[in-house]
Amino acid sequence: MQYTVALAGNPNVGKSTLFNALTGLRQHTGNWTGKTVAPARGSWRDGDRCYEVVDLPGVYSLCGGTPEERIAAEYLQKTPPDCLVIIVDATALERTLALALELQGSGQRPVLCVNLMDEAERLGLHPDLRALERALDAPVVPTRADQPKSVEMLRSVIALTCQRRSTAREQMPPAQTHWTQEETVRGAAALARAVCPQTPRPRRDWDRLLLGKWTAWPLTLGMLFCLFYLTVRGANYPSALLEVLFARLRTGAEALLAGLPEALRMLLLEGVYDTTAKVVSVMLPPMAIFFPLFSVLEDLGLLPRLAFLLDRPFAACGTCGRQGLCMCMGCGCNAVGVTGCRIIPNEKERLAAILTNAMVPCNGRFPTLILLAGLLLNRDGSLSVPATAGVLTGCMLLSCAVTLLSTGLLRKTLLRGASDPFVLELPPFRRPRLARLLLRSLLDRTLRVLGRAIVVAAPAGAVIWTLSRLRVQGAPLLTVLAGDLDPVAALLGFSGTLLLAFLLSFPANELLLPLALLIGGMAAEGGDVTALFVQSGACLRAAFCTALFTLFHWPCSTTLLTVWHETGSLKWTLAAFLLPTAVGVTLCMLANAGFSILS
Amino acid sequence: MGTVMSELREGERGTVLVLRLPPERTAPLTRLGLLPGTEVLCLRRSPLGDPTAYRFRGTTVALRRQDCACISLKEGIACNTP
Repeated sequence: MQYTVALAGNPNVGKSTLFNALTGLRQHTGNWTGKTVAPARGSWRDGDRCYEVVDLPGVYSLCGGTPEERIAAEYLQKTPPDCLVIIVDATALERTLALALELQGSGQRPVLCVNLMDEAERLGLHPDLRALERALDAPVVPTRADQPKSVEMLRSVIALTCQRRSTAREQMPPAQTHWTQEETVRGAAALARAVCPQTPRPRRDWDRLLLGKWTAWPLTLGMLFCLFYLTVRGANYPSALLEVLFARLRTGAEALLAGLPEALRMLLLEGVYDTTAKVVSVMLPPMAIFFPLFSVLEDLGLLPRLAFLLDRPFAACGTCGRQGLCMCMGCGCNAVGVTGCRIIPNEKERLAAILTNAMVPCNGRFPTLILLAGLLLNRDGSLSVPATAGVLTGCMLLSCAVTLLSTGLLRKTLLRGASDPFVLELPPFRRPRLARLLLRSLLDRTLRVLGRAIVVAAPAGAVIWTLSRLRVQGAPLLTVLAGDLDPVAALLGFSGTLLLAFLLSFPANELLLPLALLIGGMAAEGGDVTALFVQSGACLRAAFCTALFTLFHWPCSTTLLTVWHETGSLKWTLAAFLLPTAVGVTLCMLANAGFSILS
Repeated sequence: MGTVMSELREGERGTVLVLRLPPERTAPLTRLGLLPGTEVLCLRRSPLGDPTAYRFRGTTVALRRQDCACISLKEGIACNTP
């Protein structure tokens, strides 16, 4: 026997946490932003009964004003569940009960789950659940974070409701007369006052510090710096380990493929295997560090506060502070940043954020930028840590400025239109549940992005390897192509070798420097990348323009696939390709001209 | 004559009289429970001056000056007594 159970509730009532507690890790689709856009599904079993749980997007109402509301309302109308669980926040009954009242009037048989009871008690709130039960004529179950047993209780009430419903299907409560939104809100307020007349004890006001006039920026910047530092620094060790591991595995693979013809064997080993190994060992560790850390910030409730701090400059460019969050995610991986744009409710603002996301350098571009930073400061490319950090910060500031300007431009031209009123809830701080959180973010986010990267990297490796073996009239094809590109590249201020490397690193930005070495025929000579720039004579100019082009060029194939997936339109995917490219070409040409005038 | 919501200073309270916004801009605010008669407390401005965090109906919500300037308040602003 299979039953369906739907979870509905406001955002920030702990709905997703409850969903995970109910279904364990058997979730079919995850969501990145803490905001479920397509309903997530999971299940649990009890003997021969299977309960399929659908996690509806977090909404304040079902009036259909936002995409999430439409999804939730449509789902409930088309496939009425056997049991509808409405989750409310015990610390904010007045606001969260409105949805319960609205849904109660819709003819469903609900179970009301009063979540966060432990937090409410700490605040001195003692809601009278029996009174609530009587008022709503529905079973009311309290749940609390510190007692896993409370979830068992919820499960058994859901089971009971499902059975009752299947035996007495016709005895559904009749749909009530429809209330207007205003009446619902007022009704909820009256009910909340009757059920829980106490006023909450004030919480500790961390916001005084985090959003304070003088403390906000140092704290925020410090936090972001720590996030990046831990990611970049911490990723080195596991990266090295993975490289050793892949080298070992390669010996095994060589033995396995021994029977194949020489050319095919080399294609698989040097092309497919080496490229994939490189992408995995470079991408996996930073993602495995960045995503869990980001999830912790998210769970704490820091992300909306960041949007609160950043909103003003974004508002000036016709968008909202939430785009700042998408840009932060883009620093980890642009594909993730593009998916993250779902948190922006306005369609045009969201598109503008998607199209400009690739102008924030991702993890894969940081190694290139760090190397170029050294070159910009010293001709021999030696690195001093503070100076490099300074150049990197400069790169980040430049990329933010250009992103903002292009977003503003887009909002004035292609994506013109009024912005929605900016309404951003700042939820109270909650202690994140670390173990479960880290596991989820690792499984959901890291592995998914990695999977997509591998799907692209493996065939790309084969193509690049084949290209590198082809010869035209005795000369290697890649060298010839690089020579052909030289005049174009000269306009941009660097060599044809690098431009070809940019083109070929379309599958993954991490490939840029290894490819440049391969094309330049320098891979064999110990792989000193600085030679690529020193050789071209105008080292400073080449390094500067390459850095610019690294910041601003077409997004990698994974990101473009994601853009296509998110926008569902080839036109906008093309725009996402062209916009950063146009910006990069323009800036490089300007910089190149500037160097020519100066010298 | 009352004042508008954007003129509340940090720590001041007021009661909403009317939202002078077009319906499609009022809806997101109504959804969160900001109605005529709702009491709002101005918590703090963003360090850059806009938006501002308000507390009403047990939750904290950030709104922009542009929208708050169209929400008029009943007369008599009360200071928040700590």
